[in-house]
Amino acid sequence: MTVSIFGIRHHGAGCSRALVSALEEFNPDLILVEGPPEGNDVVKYVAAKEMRPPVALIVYPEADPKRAAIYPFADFSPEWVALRYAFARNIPAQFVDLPVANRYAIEDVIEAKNANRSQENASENNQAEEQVEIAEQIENDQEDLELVESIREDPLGTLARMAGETDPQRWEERVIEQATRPGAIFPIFLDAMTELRRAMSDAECWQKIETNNDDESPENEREENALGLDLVALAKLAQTVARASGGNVEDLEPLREAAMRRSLRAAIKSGAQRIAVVCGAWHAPALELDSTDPKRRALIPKKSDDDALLAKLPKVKTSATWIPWTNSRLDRRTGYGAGVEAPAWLAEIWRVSEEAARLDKICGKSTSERDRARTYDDAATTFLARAARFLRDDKLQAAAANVVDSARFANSLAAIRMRATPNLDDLRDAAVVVLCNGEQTIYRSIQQRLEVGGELGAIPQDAPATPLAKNIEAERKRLRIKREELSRNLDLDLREEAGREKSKFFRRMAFINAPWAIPREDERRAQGDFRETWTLKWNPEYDVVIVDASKYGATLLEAASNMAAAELIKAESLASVMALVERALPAELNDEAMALIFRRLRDDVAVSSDVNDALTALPALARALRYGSTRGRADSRLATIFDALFERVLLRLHEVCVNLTDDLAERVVEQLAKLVDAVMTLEDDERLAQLLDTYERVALETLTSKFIVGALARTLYDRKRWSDERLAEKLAFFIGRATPPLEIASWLQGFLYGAGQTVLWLDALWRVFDLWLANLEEEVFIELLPLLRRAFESFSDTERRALGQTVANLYAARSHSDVADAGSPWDDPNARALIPILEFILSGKSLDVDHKE
Amino acid sequence: MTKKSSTSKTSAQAPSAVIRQHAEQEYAEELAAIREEDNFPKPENWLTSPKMTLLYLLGGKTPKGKEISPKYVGDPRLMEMAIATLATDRALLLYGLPGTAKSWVSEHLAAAVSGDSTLLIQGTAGTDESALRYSWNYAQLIANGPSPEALVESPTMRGMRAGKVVRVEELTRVGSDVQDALITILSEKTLPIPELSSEVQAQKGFNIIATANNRDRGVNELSSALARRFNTVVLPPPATLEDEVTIVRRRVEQLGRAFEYPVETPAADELRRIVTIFRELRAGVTLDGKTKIKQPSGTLSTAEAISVVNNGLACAGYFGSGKLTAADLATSLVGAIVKDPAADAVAWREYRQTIMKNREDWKDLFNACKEIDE
Ligand SMILES: Nc1ncnc2c1ncn2[C@@H]1O[C@H](COP(=O)(O)OP(=O)(O)O)[C@@H](O)[C@H]1O
Ligand SMILES: [Mg+2]
Repeated sequence: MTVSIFGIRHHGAGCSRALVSALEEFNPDLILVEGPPEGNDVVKYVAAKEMRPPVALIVYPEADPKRAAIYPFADFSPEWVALRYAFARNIPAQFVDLPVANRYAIEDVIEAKNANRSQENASENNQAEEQVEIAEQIENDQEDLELVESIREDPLGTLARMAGETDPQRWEERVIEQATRPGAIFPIFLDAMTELRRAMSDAECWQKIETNNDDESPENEREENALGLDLVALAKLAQTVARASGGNVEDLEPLREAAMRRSLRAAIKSGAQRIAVVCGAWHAPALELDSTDPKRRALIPKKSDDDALLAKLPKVKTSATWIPWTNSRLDRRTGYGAGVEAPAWLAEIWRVSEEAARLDKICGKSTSERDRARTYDDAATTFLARAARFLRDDKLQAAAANVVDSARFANSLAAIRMRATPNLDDLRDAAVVVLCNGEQTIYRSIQQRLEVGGELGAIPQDAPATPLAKNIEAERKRLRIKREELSRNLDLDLREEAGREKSKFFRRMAFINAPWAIPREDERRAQGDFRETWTLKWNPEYDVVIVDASKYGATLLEAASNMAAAELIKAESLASVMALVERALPAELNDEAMALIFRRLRDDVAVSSDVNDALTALPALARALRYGSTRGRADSRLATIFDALFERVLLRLHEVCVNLTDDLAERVVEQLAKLVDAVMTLEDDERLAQLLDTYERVALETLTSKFIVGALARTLYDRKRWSDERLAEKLAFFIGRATPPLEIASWLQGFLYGAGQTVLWLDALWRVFDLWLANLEEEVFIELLPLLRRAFESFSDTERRALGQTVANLYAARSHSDVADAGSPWDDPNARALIPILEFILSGKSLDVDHKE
Repeated sequence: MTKKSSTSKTSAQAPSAVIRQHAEQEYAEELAAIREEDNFPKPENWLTSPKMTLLYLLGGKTPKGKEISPKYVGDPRLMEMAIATLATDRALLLYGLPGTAKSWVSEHLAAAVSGDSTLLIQGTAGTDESALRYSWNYAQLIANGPSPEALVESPTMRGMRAGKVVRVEELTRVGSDVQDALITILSEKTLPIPELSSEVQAQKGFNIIATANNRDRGVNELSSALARRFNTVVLPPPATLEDEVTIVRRRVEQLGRAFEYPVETPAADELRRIVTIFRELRAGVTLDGKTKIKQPSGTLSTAEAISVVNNGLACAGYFGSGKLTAADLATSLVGAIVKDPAADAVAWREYRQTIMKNREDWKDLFNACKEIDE
């Protein structure tokens, strides 16, 4: 019986290459792969034809699916290679590790304990200082743990970086190139890790290494040289790890390795003759059960100790399945980490490798002629050619001829940097210098597409899914919506069944926190209409979100309705309840949810007596009402609430229109405008008339802020309540009452707020205004100037020009119709003298002239 | 030809009386040592291999332990890229803000690769095609008609014949139509002389290093046809305070030696103050990132910081006590910062009053500056 341990770097494409050769050589009859044993239920899908990485194995506690542990695999991940190899050769394969079921249960226990401890601490020591100390201690532990984890997670990468290599991938390749045969790197890695871990478990040992590294045995030296490392650095690293794990961090590591050994012992007992173990390099020394070297054996606890450790572990109930994954999230850790650097590049060089072709052959998959003929150099050129293509996609210059030059440049750069072939750094530099005019920012704009890519994996249809995921998938198919990571727009026609169904589907997805499609900005306004535009962008994390939402229901409708109800409880203001109503109605949530939402809305409206609240809620309510009525689903509950709020506004609008700061006044004006718009969409003349009556009344009240009076005058004019003459008359009356000039400027600001074309040709109004201006005293005029200019701020240049024209023609028009205007009160030459001033006000030129004088 | 060999003879007998020596003269010793030990493969007609050129630029030790001074302080990758460009036979464009060592690097590259940094065309708005191609000696031309003797060769032509690097300074100041003359030279590697029905074919080793200033952006932007023939390496301002202090110190020491000022090089703390002022005004924020500052209109480059210190030294040496004081620095400091008397003066006064004034150990400098401004 032989056990061979292959310690790898997760997602290390170089390790994958070595692994193919090594497995072929070793010819195992059982393969154990580091991974959660829960995955064994679904490992068989690896061999399925539809399975296409990147994919992730996901294991989740059934009671709390969002705590899912995720194990992503790319084509080039060594674990994936091992599994593919196993199935192709009909060799049983198993995941070995501490079950996620135990891990989460243990974490729960630890968390509870920590919470207790800090509570105890809190009650014992009231002193602030000690509190801080404890907090710091916890923080330090956290940092230490993170350091330890990062070294454990990628010890080979850490060593590579210590050896001065920026790209661990290249380091792997180099080590492989230098090894007698690719498979020979595994014993080398094993030895390095053994040294590291021995040093860690034995504080004296690293000191010995540090002082005596000349006395190391010659083979040892050769091995270390092959890795391009020095032992002192290795020992220092070990020291760091030892110190960090010596702290009181809670550590699952011993449990995990005990569990791996337990599985290995069971495998040996089962009679397997040639067992291959593929695990993170870090764990390799802990699994060398058959080592005869006493120093190595010292790293391995006895079976009885392991069994004792693993006895009676707490446990939660978990499920496992596969989900499609993306290149951008290939980090192995739970949650969504930073990811593997440049996975698209890794995939590319894996594809062109001899070993990938060999594995394809073993798996009975034919490699295309093109792929077979390609080399590393071709991969590098392809990389640069893709860079040029993305640049051209962005309408930037990138001549195809330069791709060849950039590839030559990358080689020359690699030579200066003492490398045989260009690595990712060299290729990036080549792209920047030759293709991007030396601009890093240009490269960054294509980096994601180039180095990561939007590739989305696929899983077989019959892989287990949560009921919710199945329901959503069925809906997706029925509605013919594609999962695409690149965003694109979709126009829906709501008069058609399919359009309505899709719209509902997206809205419900948003409720379960998977906003697959987002309504376009302009979509809201078009809602009364029968068109909607959505931006679609699938995000693979939604698969996890869906698993999480599974606890809310087995169908999308049910889950969305229940999650909406949960959201309702958290909603704090009338506005947020209103927003929920607006999302809930078109999503057609179930009756229970809608009843809850309406009850809450009614209660809130009854409790609140705020006019502002009413102003905020009404437009949304009007939209909701209109939405229902155009679809023949008018809801009387909504109408009742609307009426109550509308009534409140009619009676008490004046309250919110007094004593306002500029900002507040603007806000009220916007709300008033929205309210009119909203009532207009209801096509209810009676209500509109009531509202305009109210506006008119408020506009004539002396206390109303003048900015609002101006704005209301504008509304009344725009809605044809006031004619040109009436408007001019009101302004003249207002001016005539000896109103302070500041207030008139304010009025004008309100009137012109939001610009708009209609006022440009209001001759009657401009005449009144013009006359008033002409009669202002100079001092007052200068004082008002900034305010007046602000009033015209929102006008575009064209509008200003048009207005200038209007003003210039005020008098020209009069000379055409002398007779009609014979009795006009103003005097022509005087008025003409004003034109330059008006033009100046409208011109938007700097006011500096005034200051300098 | 004869003239050139005589200059190189004088350079061997350092110190020479020339105010500013070419890089290949000033660093003749380093270059000789490097070449002697250079066993790396060299492109044809290169005097120094790419690997050793890198050593020459970045400084360090030769395999036999000879100390080489750093010429460029900053990210080594930029120099690797510049050299790799020349090694692949593509033209090199050094691009960046003023005073970021573009000309400096170009000169040293030419010195190391071709042993000659003098094939230089200074680009200005008035640079015409003949400066890039060739012109005629009119007396000869009228007397004997077009003949090789009447031809006045441009540096480009000489570089092509000899297989050397030719430098074009401030390429974007040259008019676009004139720039286009470079396209043929770079793509065909020949320079036709229709008047003589002949041409000059470039020998291997010929290449062009151009510099361009991104403050000139949009003036005579390179045409895309020309840009395609250049690799662009952007030289950034020094990344850290320490880098910049090192650059200024090195250069000041070196110039001090050349001019033989009767003063010692200033203390590191003094340099750090000057460089801090430059960096803060350049960035528009104090080094600790806490206070925003109005930015003056000038570039405030490292090169200007160098000349501020240099002027200060000259002042101290010839008019002052022989020891560099804040007063010696203040005049040229203010001069370097206040370029536009209206706007810059406001920015400078604000900086002086709100930042300099509050720094405990800056009192002398603050007072000296204040005195000048009033
Ligand atoms: N990163 C740097 N390394 C070394 N010297 C530098 C650096 N940046 C600036 N300098 C110095 O500043 C001066 C820059 O001048 P120059 O090369 O003429 O700038 P540019 O041509 O970019 O305008 C040179 O004397 C050089 O010594
Ligand atoms: Mg220059």
